Amino acid sequence: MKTMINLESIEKHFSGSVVVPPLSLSIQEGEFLTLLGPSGCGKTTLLRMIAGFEQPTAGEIYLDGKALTSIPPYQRDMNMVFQQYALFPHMNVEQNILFGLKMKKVEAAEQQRRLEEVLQYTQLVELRKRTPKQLSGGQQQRVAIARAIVNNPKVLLLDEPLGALDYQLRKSLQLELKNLQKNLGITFIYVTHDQEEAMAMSDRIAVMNKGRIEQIATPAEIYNHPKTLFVATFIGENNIFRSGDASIAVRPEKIKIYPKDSELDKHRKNGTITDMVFLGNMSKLFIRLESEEMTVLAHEYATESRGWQAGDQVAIGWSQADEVMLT
Amino acid sequence: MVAGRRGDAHLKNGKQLKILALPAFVWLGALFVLPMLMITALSFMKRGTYGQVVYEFTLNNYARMIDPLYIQIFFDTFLVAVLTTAISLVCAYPMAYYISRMDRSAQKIWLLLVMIPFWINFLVRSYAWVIILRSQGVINTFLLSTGLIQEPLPLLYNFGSVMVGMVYTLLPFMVLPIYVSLEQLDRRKLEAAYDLGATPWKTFWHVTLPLTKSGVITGSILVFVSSIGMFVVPDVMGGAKSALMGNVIQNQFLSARDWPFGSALSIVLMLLSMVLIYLYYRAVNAAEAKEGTA
Repeated sequence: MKTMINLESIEKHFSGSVVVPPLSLSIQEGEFLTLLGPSGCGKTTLLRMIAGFEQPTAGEIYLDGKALTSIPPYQRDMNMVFQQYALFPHMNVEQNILFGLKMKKVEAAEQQRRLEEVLQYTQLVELRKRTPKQLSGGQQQRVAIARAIVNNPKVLLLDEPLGALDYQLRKSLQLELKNLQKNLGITFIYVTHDQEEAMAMSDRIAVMNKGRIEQIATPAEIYNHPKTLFVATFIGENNIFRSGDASIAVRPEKIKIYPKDSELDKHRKNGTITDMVFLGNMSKLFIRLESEEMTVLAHEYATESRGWQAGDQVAIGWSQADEVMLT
Repeated sequence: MVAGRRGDAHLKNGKQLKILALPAFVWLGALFVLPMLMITALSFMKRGTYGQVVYEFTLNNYARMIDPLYIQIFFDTFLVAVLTTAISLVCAYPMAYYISRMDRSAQKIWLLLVMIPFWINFLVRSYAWVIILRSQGVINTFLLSTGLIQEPLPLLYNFGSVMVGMVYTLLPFMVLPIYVSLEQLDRRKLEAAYDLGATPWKTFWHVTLPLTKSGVITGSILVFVSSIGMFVVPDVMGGAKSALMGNVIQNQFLSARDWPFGSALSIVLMLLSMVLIYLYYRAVNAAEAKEGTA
């Protein structure tokens, strides 16, 4: 595997304040990498620096070994799918898709060939003469992707491309995007604040907070072995137990519930169930501990329900193997 | 999506919204449509010996226009109007673009500067130009004192001075609508164009300009129509030689007291402008359609 994108000590300051402190990152060819973090964490700024819409204050970006900083966005061999798509309203679907090929003066016959291919691929053949206004959100999204991939870019940048769509559509498009990426073999850099989306699609996730990458790893690694408190609480639900300086995290599905006072030790504490939330396949139990000021969240799956009720006195426990030490 | 939402709101409140338009509707009906009808009727009447209107039908007022003198004046009027529109467009677009790219507070100051000339009486401003351009005026005095010229330059009372005055007067009418359409332009569309390999110049040509077309059309029509009927500028800065249709019509109503002929000239001028505006509109749309498929 070769490195497709390499960021070397990239920094970005906006009017004196540091948005991205020095940051290095390399992305492999054909990889699906997600930049995940809350709004304002610098993920979009990072993506815009890669695209060339923002200049890094310091550092260098390499695309396939070539330094990019002095190259304007219109000469970079990558394309972007914008938030809200930014389709050209005065052009129809075909004209939108052909725009990039025309700008690069691709030969006319080749333009047509690629257009047909990408229309087929994104199922836009019947909509080819429509203007963006005459399309639904999901269809506009497909045009935005078609307009980008028709250029055969080395890297596709996606800035919250599913953010404007409703939940059901987003779910099905996640799968489509993942398959698209696998079939095309293009490197994807995907920005989102939605951890579920990141988990579903990525080869690796870079969790960002305050301009820094807190952890970069596979979705499973991020979920099972979060390194920092931020990652442990941002991705999924977690119970954080503090003793002195050390914090440990235990996932709610790893918390077991026993009758009160059974074999208490370091991993077993007494408490009272204060609330229960029924979610169909499982219930969420909120347990107020006796020994410390803390409410623990536990998941109990419907198939193994023991009929606990709000107000019950219980003991909670977990096995040592399910603890994660945080730094 | 935004357009769709606005459309829905209009449909729901269609009836109430009509009431909002009522005052303007009544105003225009009473003070625009009625006088227009009167002028139209007047243009088919005769002039009496002492300048009164004789209520007898005639086509003579229209026949009189088929005279090289009037045809020349029509031609000059449209030439000046087209040139004024073209020069204003070329000057106003870059300026509007520049203003729309500044930060908010700076934009407000610049827009204020564009509008400030409106606060001073138009006639006074025209005479200010006379003071600047005449043979003992600001420019000539300066050039003579530096020794660059020996004789004063003929800067006033010619075609050039009329053009200077026209563009000066009408430029804000071009800047403001173009500024508004640039201001509404979504910058991400420009970034999308860069991203797809368009250079800044190509981005302007293929994306910025087509998407601000409405501002260009509005500004052009405002400037064109205003310059067609303009009589103060040619009167004050053009001297006796450069009479435009506005001046001729003014004369018919005020000096010659031939209201029927003045009305007929106004009607023809209006019809010709409408034809020209229509042709312009079609040309702009055709250029865009060609642009899309090219």
